[in-house]
Amino acid sequence: MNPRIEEERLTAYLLGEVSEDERREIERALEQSAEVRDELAGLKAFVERLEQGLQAEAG
Amino acid sequence: MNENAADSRRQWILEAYQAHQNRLERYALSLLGDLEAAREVVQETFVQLCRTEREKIDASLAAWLFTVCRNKAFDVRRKERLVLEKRSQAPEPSTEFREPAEIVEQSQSADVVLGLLARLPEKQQEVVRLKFQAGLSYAEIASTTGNSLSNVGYLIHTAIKTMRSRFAQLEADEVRGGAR
Repeated sequence: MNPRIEEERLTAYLLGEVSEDERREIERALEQSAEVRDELAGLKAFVERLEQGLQAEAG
Repeated sequence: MNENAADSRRQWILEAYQAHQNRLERYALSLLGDLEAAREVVQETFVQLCRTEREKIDASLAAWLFTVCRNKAFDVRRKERLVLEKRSQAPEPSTEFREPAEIVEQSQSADVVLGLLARLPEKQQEVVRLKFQAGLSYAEIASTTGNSLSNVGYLIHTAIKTMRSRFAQLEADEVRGGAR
């Protein structure tokens, strides 16, 4: 599978932007692969940092 | 319109204002770079809301407000095009030539992500702000910016990927600087 599409879907998954079928598929991949779990954790940490930065900017 | 209907309409506009005015202002500010101009654009957006039939937009109020706000902000920008063109021709701020101490200081502050965001192409900055500052869904962002849904997903993913990789680079530089 195209790795870019996979990463893009993981981003969409984190942001709650996938269909129910996709969600189940990604959650299976998360159960099976530590690599995918690590990727999601890194992504989540960065997104939280981004949200905090943007909220701080808004004051 | 009878009195009850007028009351309920006023209530609806007031609630829309309370729910969205702040987020719209931040968004307009990111497009215009000027707080006063941003506030004016948001006021005009709500004036337009007052003149619009609720039934036509109620289902997608946030997307409607952000779309109107965006169009008005771009009108202002068109009027000020010469000034803005000059600004956009200015070289991008670069971290290349900074003192290591300055980089460390920057990456320790909460502003580091804003610096990373500012280095992205404008379109990516816009969708990132609409997602993470305004809290819009991909579908609402698509409707606001005129991008396709899949393009919104691609732009947001690409923006995050680029910022993460530059952030990792900053951290690595910091470690190297600290070990010296």
